[in-house]
Amino acid sequence: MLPNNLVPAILPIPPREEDALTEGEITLSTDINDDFSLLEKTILNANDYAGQAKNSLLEENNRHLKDQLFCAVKIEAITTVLNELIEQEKVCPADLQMLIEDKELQISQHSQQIWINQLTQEKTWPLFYSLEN
Amino acid sequence: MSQTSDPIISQPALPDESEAKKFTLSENITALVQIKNDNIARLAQGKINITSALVEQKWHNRHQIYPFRVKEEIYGAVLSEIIANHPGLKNQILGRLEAVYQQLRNEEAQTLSRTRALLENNYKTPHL
Repeated sequence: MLPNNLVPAILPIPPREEDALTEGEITLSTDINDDFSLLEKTILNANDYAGQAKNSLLEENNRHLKDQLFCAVKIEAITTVLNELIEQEKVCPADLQMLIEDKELQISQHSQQIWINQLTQEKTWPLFYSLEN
Repeated sequence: MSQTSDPIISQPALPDESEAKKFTLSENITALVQIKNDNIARLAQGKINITSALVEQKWHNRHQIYPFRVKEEIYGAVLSEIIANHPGLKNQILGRLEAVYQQLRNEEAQTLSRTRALLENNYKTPHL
């Protein structure tokens, strides 16, 4: 229901200490994948019912729910990390506020692109930032 | 932590957090299955014109997700800019971002709370 990872190809040179942790995560996410696939079968619309033809409306709603959920979790994750950076005093609140206003303005001027991409799905999301190099 | 933050009224039989999560999960599954069945009853019984209903549904869904997308793009752009300004923090920030994502994903698999809130239209994105 949610993609396995948010940050693609994370940490090209993993520090030795984190090896154990990474391994733990892999085992964990395998379990979660099982959980999610079972949950999906239970709560999402199946593509067909008792031999009926595929229902594109139900498919659309499944797809929409997954998109929305991923978006929501990304917003939560980014918000958490930004708040931590403030708490750890790595970024000062005034700078963050300025940066937010700056990006709000910048993206609101191009918000049409977001809408258009929703229609065409031509470019992969996100459009205005990247977690890759 | 355990005394003040539990929203559920007096819970004698919930010994730990994982039991509480199981309880939440089963409640949420019940609600979500109900929503699913209502949808199927409404959409899949051949009483509506699928093509025109699909156009309408897509339009509705786009409007619904648009504010999420905009907010994600803004906050994501803010984070990218911070990374660009502090290249030394890059690995730490991305590592933490992935760890938080895994935590949220795990939590969602254990409770489905966000899924339910989204489908019941009362999910609120956090604000900086």
